[in-house]
Parts: sequence; structure tokens; C-alpha cells
Amino acid sequence: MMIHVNGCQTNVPSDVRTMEQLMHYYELQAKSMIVELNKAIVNKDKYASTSLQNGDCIEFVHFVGGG
Amino acid sequence: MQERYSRQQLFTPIGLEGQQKINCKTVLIIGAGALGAASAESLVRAGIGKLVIVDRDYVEVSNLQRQQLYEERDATLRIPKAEAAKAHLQSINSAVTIESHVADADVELLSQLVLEADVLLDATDNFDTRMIINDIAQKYNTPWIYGACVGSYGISFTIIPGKTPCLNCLLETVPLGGATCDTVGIISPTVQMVVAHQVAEALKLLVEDEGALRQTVVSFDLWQHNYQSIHVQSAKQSACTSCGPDATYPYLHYDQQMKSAVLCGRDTVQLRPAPGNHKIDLNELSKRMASLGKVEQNPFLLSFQPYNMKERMVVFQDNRVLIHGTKDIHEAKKLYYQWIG
Ligand SMILES: [Zn+2]
Repeated sequence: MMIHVNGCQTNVPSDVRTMEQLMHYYELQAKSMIVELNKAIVNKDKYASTSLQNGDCIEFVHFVGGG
Repeated sequence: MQERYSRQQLFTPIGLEGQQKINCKTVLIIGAGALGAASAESLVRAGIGKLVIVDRDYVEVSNLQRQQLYEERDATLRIPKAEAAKAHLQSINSAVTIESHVADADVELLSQLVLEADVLLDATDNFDTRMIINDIAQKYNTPWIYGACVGSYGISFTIIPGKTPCLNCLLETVPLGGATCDTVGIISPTVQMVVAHQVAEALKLLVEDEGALRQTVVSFDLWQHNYQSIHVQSAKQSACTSCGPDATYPYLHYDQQMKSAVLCGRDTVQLRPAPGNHKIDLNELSKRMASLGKVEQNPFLLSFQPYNMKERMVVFQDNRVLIHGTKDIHEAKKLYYQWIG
């Protein structure tokens, strides 16, 4: 499946079908992030039930602590 | 027109009126590391009326690569950052009143300092302090500007009480065990980019041009060339314990703060992170620390001995951490935030 992740066009394996699987694929910590799918924020409790389509635009924003 | 600020006054959204507002306002900067030093210099050059700086640390040689206010002499003499910053800032602009506090940015101190501040600028290196700032800002109805960076990645968000979501709305729990500048490093352009966003937003607040505020969480990676700007208004939680109508400001209460104790006769400090923090993943931590020192792990705990340091850290599964080799609570907390985040 071809999707856009943080502005980059990316081909992800066919077993990545939901937002949760995509975050797992990228080894992302779900708790300290904001996830946007096609310009709308995805609630933290909806990652598993949000399915991905070809051409989707996903933005991951990490909250980091350094300074 | 004051010659000194003429170029800033020529900028229409500021003008003479904006400059006069900047000249009589107060900003509180929490932290005087890379972010704090850069935003302090920027605001002092801009002619802020008063700057208050809080930092518990002293200058070390490893700071000089990016903490722009400090010099080799400050590191050699281990000058506290808040004091070193004040001295350099005062020579940049003698008209600005600068107040320095060499202290932990705890609930008690921030509750006093917030009273005269028009804007709070976040320049800390940890989420424990940020959650306190977030609650203080809500309780005293003062805007604050989150900023953080690691590696080539940075993020910022302007939090306006009563309007935008707060940090507690956006984060389910306090992140723990993320990357820190002491584990994955930091390059100075990342610091500058975060500070550029923070200070631009601070200037808008200082000249009372709220309509110009960005209203998005901005994040970027300078090495991978990407930039995100996300509208998060829909993430505001009506029942938020920090910004909702029945706010209890949970991070201002003693039981939600990190506890520390010196263990008698053992040259060890025990730190117990607040219960709201999420669990440290020992396997993940072990992977991250492997290149930085000697890591030993069993099912109950992880022991980490960094190369070239006498201190050693032991992390238990219940988030409790022992820092061996020091009796100094400030030093222990500093190492904790450097290693765990
Ligand atoms: Zn909130």
C-alpha cells in the first residue's frame, strides 16, 4: 500500500492495515504522540479501529522532552 | 523611534506601540540550557522589560556546542547557568531587568514567579517540570509556550488557558523513557528552530496580537527535511483535570511529583517518579543505553554504568530508580533526566 507519512511517499507491507499496525511497524510509542490522518486527529483509543487506505496522508508528531 | 529597536519597530505588526508593550512586559524562562539561553538572548535583544530565569544546573564543557550564552570560562569555573546567563545578557542589553534563580523549578517557586509573568517560556529538559508549568499556567491564567528538541527533531505549541488544549489534554500520561539529548544527541540548528518558533509566538503575545498566534502543534526534522503543522483544537478534553471547568491541577499536588530520598550511608539517591508517569520499558531502555555504557539486566531491574562516570543507575520495574555514587538530590535528578528523559 502506498501512503504518505510525514510528507514522504512510502510503500508499507500489505499486512499493515490499521493505524495501530502502522505505528507498530515504525516502532512508535503511541502514548506520547499526536496522529493525524488526512488532516483530522485520530483519537488515541481509535488507533486499532482506524483502517488505512491507499493514498492516505498520515502525520506523526512526537512529544519529546529534551531542551 | 528608539534607534536600538528601530528595525523591530519598522516591522508593522510590532511598530512603536508594540515596542512599548515589549519594553514593559515580563517573561519567565524555565530552564537555561540550550533553549533557555537562545530565547533569553533573543528576548533581551528585543528589549523585553524584565526577564526572570530559573535553572538548577551549572555550565559544563559539553554545553558549549549549543548553549549560546556560555563561554569556556563559565564551564571551567562551573558557574550556575542562571548566573552566567544573567551576566552575559546584562552586557548585551543593560536596560533589561534580569532576575536569576539558581533553583529547582518546583511548584512553590513557580507559583510565586508566575504572578508577575506575562508569558512562560518552557526551556526545560523533562516532562515532570512541564506538567507543573502546564498546571501553573492554567491556575494563574498565563500563556505558556512548550518547546523541546532532540537530535534534528523539534516541536513547539503555544498553550493559551481557556482557549487551546493544554499539554495534559494532548498527552495521556507523562512520557518516560524517550530519547534525550544525552542519549541520542542534539545539533544546535534544531535548538535555533524551536526557539525561533517559541520567541515569535512570545512576541505576538507580548504585543497583544493574539490573532496572529499559530494555533497548531508544529514539529520538524531538519535532517530529514520535513515540517508538520497540526490543528489540535479537537483534542481539547472537556473533562481535563488541568484545563477543564472542574480542574484540580493534579501536578501541583505533592503526590503527583517525583519523590527523592538520600539513602543514608550508601552514597545513593532514590528517585520515585510520579505515579502518573507511564512505566519505563526496561528492554527498550537497555537497547538505548547499550552504546553508552555497561548495561546489565535481569527480570526485576536494569543496571547502567556509563563509560567515564563514577555514578551508576539501577532502574526497577516499578519505575523506582537508584542513582549510586552521589548524595546530591539535584545531581541525581539531573542524571535521571539525562538518561531516562
Ligand atoms: Zn487540558
